[in-house]
Formats: sequence, structure tokens, C-alpha cells
Amino acid sequence: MPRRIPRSVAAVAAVVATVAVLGAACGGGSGDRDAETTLVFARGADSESLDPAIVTDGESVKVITNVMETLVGFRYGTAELAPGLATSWSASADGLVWTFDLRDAKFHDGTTVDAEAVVFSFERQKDPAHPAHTAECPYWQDSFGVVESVKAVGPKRVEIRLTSAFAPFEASMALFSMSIVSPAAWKSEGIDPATGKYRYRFGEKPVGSGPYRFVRWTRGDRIVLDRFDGWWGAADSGAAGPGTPPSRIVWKVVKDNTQRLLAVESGQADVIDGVNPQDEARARANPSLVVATQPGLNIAYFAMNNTRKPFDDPRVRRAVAHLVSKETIRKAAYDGAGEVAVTPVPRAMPGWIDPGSRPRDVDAAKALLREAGLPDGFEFTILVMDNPRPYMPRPKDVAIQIQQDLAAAGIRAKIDVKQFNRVLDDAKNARHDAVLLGWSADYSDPDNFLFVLLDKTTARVGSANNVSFYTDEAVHALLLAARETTDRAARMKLYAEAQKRIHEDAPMLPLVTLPEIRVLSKRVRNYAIHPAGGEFLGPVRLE
Amino acid sequence: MNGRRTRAFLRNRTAVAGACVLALFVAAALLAGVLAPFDPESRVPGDDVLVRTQPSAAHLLGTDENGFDVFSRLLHGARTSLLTATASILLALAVAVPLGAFAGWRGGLAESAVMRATDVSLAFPSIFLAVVIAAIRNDRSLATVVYAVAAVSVPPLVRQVRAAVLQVKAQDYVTAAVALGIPPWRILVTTVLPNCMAPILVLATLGTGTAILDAAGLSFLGLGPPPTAPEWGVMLTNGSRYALDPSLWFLLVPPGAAIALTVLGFNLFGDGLRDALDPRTRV
Repeated sequence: MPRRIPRSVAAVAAVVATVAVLGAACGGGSGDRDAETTLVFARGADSESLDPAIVTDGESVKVITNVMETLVGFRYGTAELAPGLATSWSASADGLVWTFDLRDAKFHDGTTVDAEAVVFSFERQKDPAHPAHTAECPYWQDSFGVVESVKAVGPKRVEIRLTSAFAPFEASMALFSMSIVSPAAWKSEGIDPATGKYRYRFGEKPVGSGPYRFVRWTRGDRIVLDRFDGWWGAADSGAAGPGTPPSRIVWKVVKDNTQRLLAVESGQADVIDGVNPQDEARARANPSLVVATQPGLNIAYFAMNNTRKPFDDPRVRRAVAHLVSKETIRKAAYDGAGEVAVTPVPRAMPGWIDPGSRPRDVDAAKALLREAGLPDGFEFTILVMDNPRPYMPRPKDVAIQIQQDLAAAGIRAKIDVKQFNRVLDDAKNARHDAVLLGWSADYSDPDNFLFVLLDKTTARVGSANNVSFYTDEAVHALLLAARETTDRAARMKLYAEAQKRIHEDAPMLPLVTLPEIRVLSKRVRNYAIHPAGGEFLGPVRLE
Repeated sequence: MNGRRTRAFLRNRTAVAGACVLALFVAAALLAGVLAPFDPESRVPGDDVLVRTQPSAAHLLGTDENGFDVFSRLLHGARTSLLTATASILLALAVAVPLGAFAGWRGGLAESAVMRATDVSLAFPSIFLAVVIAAIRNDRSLATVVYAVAAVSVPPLVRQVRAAVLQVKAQDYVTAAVALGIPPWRILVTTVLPNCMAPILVLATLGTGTAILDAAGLSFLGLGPPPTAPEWGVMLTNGSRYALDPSLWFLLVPPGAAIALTVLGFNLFGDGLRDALDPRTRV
């Protein structure tokens, strides 16, 4: 028998070989830069689809906002509403009829953006029998049930009727799902008689009117967009400063956060998102990089299932609130990034108030537990996802801190780590004691947080966003009244009332809001983070 | 081992070094409860939560990102590793020894069936199989790790046990036993297997090293025990987030070094054991 190589030697050799291969992988990839005028945006995951009506994931939205546009837009880099494809709009006195006037704009296929295209874009989401309704439209279902009809009342004028007044309607028209799509593209390949739907696969090759047009998509790797010369906004953003707009944008998938930082350091990427909090300092210290930040419109929260014992007792929930130290969570599980949240509305959102806070107070918590008949605490399970989310980089560690904090009053928390979709499924079906989740803004209005997360109508078992299953009537009345009030100051008062009441009841604990962070190479000019999600690169320049 | 073999082993310096490392490891595992200054599954008590503090007299290896004492977790991690590795190797032996012995002793179709099955499972890298098993069980516990590691340890063990049995089977004393009319299963149990003990012992030792590595690998990939469990693979994953910050070396180096040293120790010890026990490498 020949003498074998000792396993230890083999193991060392394997490690060396692995490192060598990895090193080669990092060093290679020179094919990424097609031209000096290409901008490479590196991100953690690929898009699901590019059909605005059906997607819900942030990675799809990033690309969609560059290819398609909404009637109402944002002033670049702010949450302030501004004209988009509509130059002006108005509501009737009762808030039930909205009229939008369109600008002169072209789709990438050369057809004109007209009132019929708007009707097509909305009608296909409203009507499940529409040939361009290819899948469920979650955003339409959640937020646009109030739309009664969409009509073209002129070649460039659209009238939308609502069944009841909905004050955030204007803001919600800036939501990516309300993007205007090219009807000509949809119709270009005819209808498949078997399904009654258009053959054109819009989600894989979208046509809109945005600053960049779709070129190709290599699944799991990259999406390529080219500059659209006919974009109406070009003249507008021409005054944006030195440099030229990128002729091409490549959305490249680099899964690992640290690898992505290395990519922008080595010049293989121009913009990256998803920066580890602990890597931010490293990026800041690099003179060839720029770090862009924005206050976040997101919130991480700890939802207790208000329909389950013992969390059905507000005294128990208040005791939990007295025990959990959000500052410790921020320090430990966020590496000191972000800011502690005091209310379910992020601080940068209009309508935010500080309803007061409950400092960590073990004695107060114990007293509350005694009152609730649980002097020795209780046992429960925290449901936790196993992957990072934009509002929570390390869910497991947040759970560990909560577990450790609660132990002081004898509350024994078990941590159940599951895949994100299974966590969502359990939470939506009320199969949890408590869960760690979060929310990022879709539109710039407190309604998007308070109504979605805490109104009793969003606590339907099976499709709940209100995973605390908090069904307080007073809060419901306040939130409904706020939806129907058009006077801004009066609305904000109603939201303040609602937040105070929610704080008192403590159905869930808002934990931390994370700022948005991007790292850019120095040659990228005029880049601004979009506060309400998406990654609009229309006005960006390269030097 | 008789005196001559013990002397042969002791002359082998690397093997002795391996044995020392193992002694240290076993001592840490047995005495973790006494030696560890803090509870490995709780934050260090005190008014302030100590997150990622540098090593000090109170915390020899600092505190981790959750405010747990790294040194205490490292000691208890030895216990976790020793337990999972030993349990999975014993479990694997319980399956592999009868299977391998049966295949080697019986021969024929039974042998072909068993050996082709092991060949197929050997074609997959063991960590992939372990990941698949852990994912199927979908229950984060040490038991899952034990089952997964045991399962991937079985095929190579079956192979080696069969080889050992084949070798012993050809010996004259086995032929003599057969000639005496002793029932075959009795020969296998009373004569053949005891004479295979030496190679099996070597295999078990080497296998324990691999098992520690596989278990740590599973935990590193997030398929291991619950998040607060003191486990070297878990510590390594958590620490690897701070790999770009050299000042936080104490989150990454101690669990990494512990895994590397222990595995090395088992391998050196196992190699030395084989050299001492193998009649053909007799000095």
C-alpha cells in the first residue's frame, strides 16, 4: 500500500487552491466595462420581472423606474411630488374625480404617450379579463380598490373616478406599479387564443417612456439598458452640471455585500447598494469613492400576535416594551447604524411624531406582568427570517437581543429561524406568537405605514400585512378619517392621534430605521438616492 | 497496543503533538463548565451591554457582536464539537461496520450492491450531501448536524471496513476456522472483526476530524444549531462579517484556529496511530 498523503496536508492544499481560485475570480472579469460611458450598478439580487403591475420586490422596481414613468413623479432626490408624465392634475371638490393632463412624450417604440395608453395601463390591472392582465396585481389590489373608472376624456386628458375620497391618491399615483406601459408593444404579437392574453412577454422586455430603454436581460447576471434619446426629461436635466449621461446602464448582480464593495473599489462597478454598516467607514476612507446617504423611509418592527395569549393583554405588550432596549439592538444587531424608531412611521416621513418612549425598566415590566397574572413570565417563540432585509441586516441578532432583554423579567423567548417566504406565510396566516419584520415606503404618506401595518382591515388572516393582528376600532376610525380628509394639517393631526393611541396599546414595537447608503465611484455625478425606493438614474452624469 | 507499538507511536513526534492537541481539546470540552467565566448563551451581565469589546482581563478574547463572552463560547464550543463529532462517528460506525463486514464477508451480489451504492454516494462531495440532509430535515438542532455528518461518514467507512475484512478473511486462521465447521457468522463476529479493530480505530479517529470540519461547515452555512448555541462554525460565520476590520480579529481567529488545530490534531494522531498499528510500516 503506498503511503497516503496525510489528510491534514490535503486539507491545507485544498484551502490554498480555493483561495487561488477565488483570487483569480476577483481579478478577472475585465469584460464588465463595455465603454467609458457605461454605468455599472451592482446590487445583491436580480429582478423578478419588469412588469410594474405584478412585481413587489425592490430589485425589480430599481430597473422599472428607469424604463417606465408614472403620471406623478418626484422632485429628483426628494419625496416631494412633481409632474411626471402628467404636467398638471386636479381633484373635484368632493375628492372623487381626478383629472390628469399629459405632456408630449414618446414610448421607446416611437408611439405617443396618450390618454388611451394611461387607460390601458390601469384598466389591465383593474380587470382580470383584460388581455394584458397576466398575473395578480398585488399593489392594485391593496391600494387602488377605490378606483371606479379610468376614462380618456381627450387625447391628452384622463379622468379617474373614485368610489370614496382617498387623500393619499395623488401620492399613490407616483407608485411604480402605476407606470404607463406601451399598448403597442403589448399588442405587437397578437393574442394567444388558448389563454386569451397577449403573447408579448412584457415582463421580460418592457417598453415605456423613461430615460433608458430595455436592451437585454441575462437572468441572474445582468440587465442592460441604453439611453433613450427621445426622453422628454433630457432637456430638463440638461442643466444638471458637468459630464454626459451614461449611454448604457448595466444592472449587475454581485451577491455578497463585501464583494460588491470590492467591485466599486476596483472600478468594476460605479454604484453599489447594500453596504454593510461596518464597511461604510472603509468606503468613506477611500478618496476615489463617494458615500451617499439619505434618511430611510423604512422601519423594522417586532410584531406580537395580539390574538394570541398572552399578547392579547396590552399590559403584557407594555411590559415587553419596557424590557426591549432598542438602543442595544441598534448597537449590536445594526453595528451602530440607523436610528431608534419611536413610532411605526419613519422620522423622515410627513406626519411623524414622538409619542413618548418607554425606557428599559425591569421593575415596571415585572409589575405589569404581575398585574396581568404572569408573575413568573411566560414562554413564546420569535419567528425570524434567515436572510438580511434592507431594514434589518441581521434578523437573527435582533432576535437574540430581544431574547436576552426579556430574560430579565423571566420571559423565555425561543428563536425560530426560517426562510423569508415561510416566515411571511406563517405571519400572514397568524401562525406565530411574535415575528420580526419591517416595511419600506411605497409612497410618501403616513397612510402607507399606519394603515398598511395597523388598520383592522389589513389584518385579514391569510393576506395580512397587519401581522400584529391589531384591530382597534378607534385607530381604524382615525385612519379612515385621515384617508378621506383633504386638508393636510387636519390629516396630520389625525395621524398624530392614531400614533399616540398605538403607542399606548403597544401592539408592536417599532425598532430601528436604517438610512439608505450607496457607494459611488468619483466619476458619477448628480446622483441622488430616491427616498421612496427605486433607483432613478435619469439625471445622472458620468465624467 | 502492546509496548512495542506504543514506543513506535511515541517516537513519531508529529503524532505526539497531535495527541497533545487532542488532550487539550478534550480537557477544554470536559472542563468547559468549570473554566468558562461566563454563560456562553447569555449576554455578559452588567448595566451596559458590551458589544464587540477588545480582549481584557475580564474577557480574555473580548465580547462578540451580541455581547457574549468569546472565550466562554470557545470553551463550550469544544464541548459541542466533541459531542457532535463523537456522536456522529459512533452512529456512522454502527451502520458502516455491519454493512462493510457483511459485504466483505459475504461477497457476490450483496457485496456488489453495497459497494456500488457507496461508490455513488462517494461521487458527491460530502458537504453537499450533508447540506441536502440538513435542508430536508429543516430543523435547526445539533441532532440534525449529527445525522447529516453521520450519513456522509458512512460510505468511506463501509469501504474501509470491507477492505479490512477482505484482508483478514484471506488469513490462514480464518481458513482453519472454516475447516473446523464453525458457523460463518460466528467466525465473522469472534475472529474476523476483532482483527479488524486496528484499522477501524484509525478510521474512526481520522473520521472524527473530518466530522468536526463537516459540522462546522454546516453551521457556517446556517444549517446548524440554534443561533445562540456555542458552536465554532456559528462563531466563524458571525465573525466573518468583520473580516475587513483587523482590530476585530478576536471574533474570527479564535474559532477558526480552534477548528483548524483540532482537525489537525485528529489527523496527526490518526496518522501516527496507523503507522504504529500497520504491520507493513513497522520500523
